[in-house]
Amino acid sequence: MCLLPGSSVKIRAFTLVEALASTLIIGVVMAALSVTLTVGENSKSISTAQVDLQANVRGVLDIVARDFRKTVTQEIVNSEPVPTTTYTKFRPVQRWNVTNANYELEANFTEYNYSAANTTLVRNILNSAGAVLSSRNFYNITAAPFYTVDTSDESVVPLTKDTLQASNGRVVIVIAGENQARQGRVLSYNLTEEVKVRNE
Amino acid sequence: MNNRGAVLVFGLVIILVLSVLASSFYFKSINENTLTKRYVESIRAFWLAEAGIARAIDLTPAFNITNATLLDNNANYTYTTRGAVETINATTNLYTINSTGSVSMPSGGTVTRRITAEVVEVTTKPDAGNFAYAIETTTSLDIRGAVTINPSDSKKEHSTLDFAALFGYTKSDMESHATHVYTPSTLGVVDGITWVNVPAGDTLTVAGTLAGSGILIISGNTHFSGTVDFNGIIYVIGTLTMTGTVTTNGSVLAESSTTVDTTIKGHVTLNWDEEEISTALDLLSTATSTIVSWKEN
Repeated sequence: MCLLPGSSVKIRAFTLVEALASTLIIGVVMAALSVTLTVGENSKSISTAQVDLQANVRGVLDIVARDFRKTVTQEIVNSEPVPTTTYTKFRPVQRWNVTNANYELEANFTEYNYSAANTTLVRNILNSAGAVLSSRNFYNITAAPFYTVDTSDESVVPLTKDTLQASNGRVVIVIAGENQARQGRVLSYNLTEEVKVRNE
Repeated sequence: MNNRGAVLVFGLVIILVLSVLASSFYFKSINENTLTKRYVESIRAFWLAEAGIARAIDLTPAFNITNATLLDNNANYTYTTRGAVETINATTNLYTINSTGSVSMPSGGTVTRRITAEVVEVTTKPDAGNFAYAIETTTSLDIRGAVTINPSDSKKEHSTLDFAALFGYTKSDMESHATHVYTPSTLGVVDGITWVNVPAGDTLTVAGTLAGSGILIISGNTHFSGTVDFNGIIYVIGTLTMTGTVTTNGSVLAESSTTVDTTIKGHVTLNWDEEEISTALDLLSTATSTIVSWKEN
């Protein structure tokens, strides 16, 4: 208890017990808040990573599928190097040539090259001499993307010139992606689409 | 110093931090929701554009209907032919179809996908060479009186007539596609494809005037005793008797015994006319369309 000079008001300080009790309570509250915020932040991080991953996989699949639809099966089959689960090269169809009764193809090639080591799918636009005109990388792709269908049992088989020829232009595109969230947690997501090459 | 307001300030700070986190997550979710919807609507727009191509082909050969729209729950497709039709040869044309699928999103904006397809349309019809005579019959041909056949040797008897091979349709298909289907008592306008069903044991007797064109098929015995003026193909599934004033430009065929008799009442002129035969066969033309090139713009 303390008396100010000239004053009759008594001001009491906190006792030691009161100070300890309040510190304990604040500590518990802060700890609870910290745990809640950490869990929430982790949850947000995972959700965000999942959302980004799904959007990325969808976007890649859409681009690849659009490219394949626009070409002609023989263009993929006869390409050099030969088509595999990790490599394809083809030109989109421009129009029908009435005189020659065949397709007019665009001058530039679209090339897909997948590197498992880099987990990257590269989309190149090549000119007729093979020089890269533009390039776009799709990162964190974890599996080879190109397959086709065995029409005898409708099973998915690796893309080769023979299997694609036999399937009559049915390309199965598998985009498997992964993304890293907090605390080293790795998320994975994949989409598969069967694309019919529109020009026969 | 009075510290009583510290709890309020502390609480507000906590609420602020939580609000920032929550709103950040909320807007991220909303954005992802929008992206997902746009992706879904993009696929929808793509297949609407494909539907436009199919619709345009389905209207073949009426490609001159160059623009049509189907509204469907905030979605539509439009298709147009581009420029003039390119003629490859007499029976083959090349068309270019531009088709756009559009989907309006509730949140505003429109997702569109555009496809261009080139379509080769081959028009086929029965060969006019199948009808090589002014008159052709499966049995004897009894010609009496003042009968003129042009050219004079344009007649054939004891022939083998295969209806489906001649027309490219079976008899029942032809009847179902006929422009007019009559019985002897209801016989009216004769143009396009006219099919007349004559009851068994009965005879269609044309005693008055019959003027017509196209393909006339009479399923039953027939007697032209009046004035008949016809351009095209007459095919009788039964006996055919002509005793009136009959003039045909094209070809007359009868699957049974045919008697052409002008000695009693009339004058018969049977002109083999390839042009009239071809015009009549146009009624049976069919168009087959094939997409020869496809690209998404």
